[in-house]
Formats: sequence, structure tokens, C-alpha cells
Amino acid sequence: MRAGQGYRGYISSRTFGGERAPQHIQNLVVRSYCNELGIPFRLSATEVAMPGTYIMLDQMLEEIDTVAGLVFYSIQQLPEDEAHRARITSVVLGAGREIHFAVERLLLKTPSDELRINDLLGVSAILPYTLKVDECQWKFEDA
Amino acid sequence: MFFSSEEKNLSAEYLDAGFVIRPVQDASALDWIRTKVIENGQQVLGEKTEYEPNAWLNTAHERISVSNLNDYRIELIRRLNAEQKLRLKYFQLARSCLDAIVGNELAMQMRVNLSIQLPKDNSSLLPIHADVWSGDSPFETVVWVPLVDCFGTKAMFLLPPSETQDLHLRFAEFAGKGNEAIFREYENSIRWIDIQYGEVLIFNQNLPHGNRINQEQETRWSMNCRFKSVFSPYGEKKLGEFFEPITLRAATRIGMRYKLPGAGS
Repeated sequence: MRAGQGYRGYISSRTFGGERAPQHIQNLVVRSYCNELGIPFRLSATEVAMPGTYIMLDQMLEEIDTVAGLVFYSIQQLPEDEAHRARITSVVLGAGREIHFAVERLLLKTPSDELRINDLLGVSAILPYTLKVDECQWKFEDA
Repeated sequence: MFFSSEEKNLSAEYLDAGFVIRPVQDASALDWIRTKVIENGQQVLGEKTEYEPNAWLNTAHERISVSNLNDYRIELIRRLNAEQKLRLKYFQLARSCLDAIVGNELAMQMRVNLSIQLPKDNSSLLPIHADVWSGDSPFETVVWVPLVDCFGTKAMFLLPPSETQDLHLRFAEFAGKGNEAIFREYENSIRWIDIQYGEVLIFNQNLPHGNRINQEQETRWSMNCRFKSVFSPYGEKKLGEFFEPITLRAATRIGMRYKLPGAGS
């Protein structure tokens, strides 16, 4: 770990993965995660509200050499597009850095971590098209 | 259904009793897990003594105080889940049973839990409850693994399906009375699940279950972890936060990435 450089937080001002968390709660979760792991936390960057826009993340990637890594609030903040995610991963891993995801307690540090996260996001993207618990019960009652 | 006779037996038993007990599928994986529990457990306690695994676990109450128990357990869970192979080993204990009961494309809880029940301790009790009452998906199942032999009040209990059905019909009667009233009402119907080290319990978490004060002379150590079919409905325990796919199949991977020609990039 590059303790002197710290880990930059990354929170969002828009919904992601169908969920919304207030920014101060996102910051609490990120800070608590860093404390638990004993990794030095630097202030969070807050992504802008416009959907599909990653201005702040792009800037953090530009400055990736100045930090030990990034700490996202959630993997759901990653772009939906897998190729876009691959470019982010390439920049971070190429610089010898890592990304933590506080809610999921996941670490992206190796190509196998990338596969794990792609599986999670791939399945997550399909779940809205599957039945919910209450819809199943409704169907049973109706049968 | 196109099941083998063993699959049919497992399904029928699970539906009828609400649980199945089988020998673990991979005994070396269980020994690995138990060794890790003891190694990490000793490190947290600052011990470096030689041990016989069963004796060390069963007599843990001689070394762990009730006041330190929860902090100890939490730290041990943290260390165990930092072991990269833990979840794979755990899955290997019950893989074929899960295949028959849940499916072969599974989501697994991201952190395996550990329970420690010291004799006479009333601080670590799980009052009668069903996980689904607290927002778990009814499609989940629990794989429960004892690290010591469990019997009498050292074991967990489960309310059988027929009695659970009765409880559901009468649920409103217990409003304002607390779950102890439910336990008292069904105390004579619950089933205490005796199980040995080397066996695995898979139970339906929609059925009320829990534990009582361990009145035996030995400490109970057990682990639990939830599994579900990856595309069955989720409750409050979400994919990514609580569950993670562990056996995605090739056809699913292809489907997840497929875009119709001309549908854009």
C-alpha cells in the first residue's frame, strides 16, 4: 500500500443500480470502510448528476498516479457498458493501483477480480427482467 | 421431473421435513475449514498451544468469556472470510445437494457466518424466527455446518412445515406477544436437529428456527451460509451486497452479452 498517497473516495449525486443513497451516507460508508481496512482516506469526488456522465471519474483516472487507489461507494457506480468498464480497469491496473467497493467490500486489483465484478453487474442487469417475490406470490394465488 | 432417484429423495425429504442432513461431500474441505477456524481462533486469543481440534472447540468456554464473545466472533468471522478459499471449500461441502435442491446456477452469500454458543450463555441466542420474515427471499436455503457434534440444546431447532402452516394461519394471534410466545406455543412441535461433525444440514429458512440456551457442557461451533438460484427473486439481501453468483454457466455468459445485430453497440 502507498500509505502516503491515500485512497480517493468516489460517491455519486445520481441514482445507480435503481438505488439512491444520500451523499453524506455514501461518504460515511466509504470512510468507515477505509477505517476498517486501515487504509488512508482522501476526500471523495462526487460524480455529476447527468446520467451516463463520468467527468469526475475521468479526472480521477487522469490523476491515478497521485493516489494509492480509489474507493467507490458501490460497484453500481461503474458504467453499464462493459467496454467502458474495461478501459477504466485497464487504466487503474495498468498504473498498479486498485479500486475498492465499500458496499460490496470487493477489491478490483487483478483480472480475475474484473471477471467477478463483470459477473455481478451482468446478472444485476438482467434481474429487472425477472420476477420479484411479490409477483411470484400473486401468480401463485391467481393460479 | 427428470431427476435421479437420489435427487428425488433429496427433494422429497427437503419438502417434507424442511431439511436434509447428509455427510459432507468433501471431508478434506471440512477439515480445512475447521483448521482455519482453530488457527485463527487461537491467534485472536493469543494462544500457541497444541490442540486436538474437537477438544479445543468443545472446551472454548474455558478460554472465551461471555463478555468478549461477540467481539471475538466478529473478529474471527472477519479473518475467516479473508481466507480466499473459504467460500469455495464451504460450497464443496454440499455441492451436489445444492444442485438437487436449489439448482446448478447459484448465488452464494458473500460472507460465511460463524456461531459460537457457550454453555449457559444467554447473550448469543437466536429467538425463533424465519429469515424470510426479515426480508430474505423465500427462494433462499441455508447450508449449516457443525464444527462439533451438536445434540440436545447444543443443537438448533426447526419448526416442521405442517406446524409452520398452522402458525401462518394463527399468526395474528401473536401480535403484541413477542416471538417467545410463538416458541412456547409450538415448543412441543419443534424439532431439535442432532447432527455430527462431518455432516451438513441444508434447511428451509422459511421455516421458523433458532436456538435456546445451550444447557450442555460443551461449546457449540457452527457455520451458516445462504444459497439461492441466481435468477430467482431476491429479497432485501441483494446481489452484490449480500449474494454473489458462483456458478454462472456458459450459456448465461453468452446471453448476458448478446446484442441483436443492428441493435447498437
